[in-house]
Amino acid sequence: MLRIEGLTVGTDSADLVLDVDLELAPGETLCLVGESGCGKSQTCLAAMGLTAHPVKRKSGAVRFFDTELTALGEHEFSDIRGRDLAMIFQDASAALNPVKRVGDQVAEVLCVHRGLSRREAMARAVELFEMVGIPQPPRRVRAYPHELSGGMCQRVMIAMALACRPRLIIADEATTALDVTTQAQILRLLKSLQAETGAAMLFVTHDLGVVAEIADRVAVMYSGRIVELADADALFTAPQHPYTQGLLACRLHVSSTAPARLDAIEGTVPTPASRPQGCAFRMRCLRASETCHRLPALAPMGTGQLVACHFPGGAA
Amino acid sequence: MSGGELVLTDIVRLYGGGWFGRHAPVRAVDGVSLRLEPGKTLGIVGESGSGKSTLGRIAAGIEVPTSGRVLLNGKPYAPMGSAAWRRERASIQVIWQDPSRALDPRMPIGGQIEEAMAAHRMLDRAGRLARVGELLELVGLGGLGHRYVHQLSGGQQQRAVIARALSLAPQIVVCDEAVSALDVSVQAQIINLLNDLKARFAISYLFISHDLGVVRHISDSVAVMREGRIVETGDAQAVFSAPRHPYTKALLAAVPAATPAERRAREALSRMETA
Repeated sequence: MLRIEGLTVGTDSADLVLDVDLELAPGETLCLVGESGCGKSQTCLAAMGLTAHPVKRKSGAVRFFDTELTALGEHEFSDIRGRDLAMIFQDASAALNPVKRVGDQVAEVLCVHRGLSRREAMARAVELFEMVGIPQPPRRVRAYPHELSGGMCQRVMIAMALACRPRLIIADEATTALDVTTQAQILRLLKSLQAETGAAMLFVTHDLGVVAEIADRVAVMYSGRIVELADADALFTAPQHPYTQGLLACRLHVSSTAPARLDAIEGTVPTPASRPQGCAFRMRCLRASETCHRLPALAPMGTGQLVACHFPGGAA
Repeated sequence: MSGGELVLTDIVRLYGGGWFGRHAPVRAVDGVSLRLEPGKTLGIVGESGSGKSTLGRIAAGIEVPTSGRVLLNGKPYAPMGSAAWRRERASIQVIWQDPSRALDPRMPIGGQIEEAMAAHRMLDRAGRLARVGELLELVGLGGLGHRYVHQLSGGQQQRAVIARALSLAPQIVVCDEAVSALDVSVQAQIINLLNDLKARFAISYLFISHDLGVVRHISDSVAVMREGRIVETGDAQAVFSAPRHPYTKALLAAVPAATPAERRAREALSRMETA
């Protein structure tokens, strides 16, 4: 339903996202994982047509069902964006309007995109609040964002995103700022709502635990490119790219003990302006050789995943 | 450097309350007693608003508790703001979450480390400069002393903050979400560094974090906080592998699964329990 082809996003001086291809089927959840600055958020913003100056989409196509989104004018795009696509951001308290009651903000979406009257829209807003698990909905629709906790604000954002029954939800670090107990509730909520509506979800996160909770498929990004694309199970049990293996090796999980000295990946992510020729990971990679000065293509492995590495596989 | 012992007894910290007590004050920390043993790491976990950061500031002596006692090596802190209090700060240092805000953007990092030592009248200038070089080498920033904050990555900035804290030869370091803002691969590097330094200089750490995985890895013992109180405390491995308090259990159950397989096992289990 959503197909991103050859997407390149950047400023005049540097590319932030390079030649990204992604596909999403109805009802599917694809997680986009990577460290800060790897281009995962820019990929989402570009897919939604929301890149802000000086960042712009340089090439590539974004197709939603039969519509070529990148060919649309701003007016038609915003129509689809409100109705069929929805985006949930990390910081809900910043995304909500602080001087407007939260119920009005949700109702506004319905008035604009569904043509409901204000009264109908408010009634629907109360139902939506109920659906996302906000207690006492008739009272809470009258609250201002500052009167609600972070978790409640995030639920309002989700209610707003779901108001028009979108076919695609893009969630950018939607649970990162929340406490674990709230995060667990929100993830459960998103999954059950997805099962109900059959929406597809593109979920951006840096947390592999969240990936394990929610993903059907996973795309790992490094310095603007997808380096590994796999089913969630395959990614955790048999990661092929050395970067994915490194990420999994140095994570700390409360359910298990790690070796006293962690297998940290040395060095840091290169900035887009100083990205090396060829494989961007080669400066930090133990397997790197002369070959890695050539850019590895994202190629299928026997295990069913796509990997961009000259020396994939091996010990995890 | 050697580790100090920090003992907190019945710490209470109230905020607000309004004029004439019209509103009940917020009990940010509500009767906490803890002991940080020399050369050990005590982890404090809790969700936002549990009072863990307030407790950290009180332990570091930069906030005064409403009631209760803080003893560093058996001695209470001097009155806040006094000359004696300022001298004491050298022995207990704090590492915050955001290194870019903890460092001065207008001064090279080497200069900031030297300035901290100069403020505490340590060594002469030549000695301090030599020490800055050693410290930068120690934290993996050898030769980068002339750099400004904006010329360093987030991980390098946190290393600079650690070097500055170490320059004063502290006995105790309070880490308040010190690795939370870092990417996983960099986070692992900093955790390794903190552990190396602990082994080498026998520093005691009070390690405050909401990240249970990190706390389990780095701590010898751990205290779980909720609404200003400690609900469970004990050996880190014991608390995380066999929690006793219902809140600790709920907290651990809410942590995302390690792998999809673990998630399915957990879901199957909860279905069986509800059925």
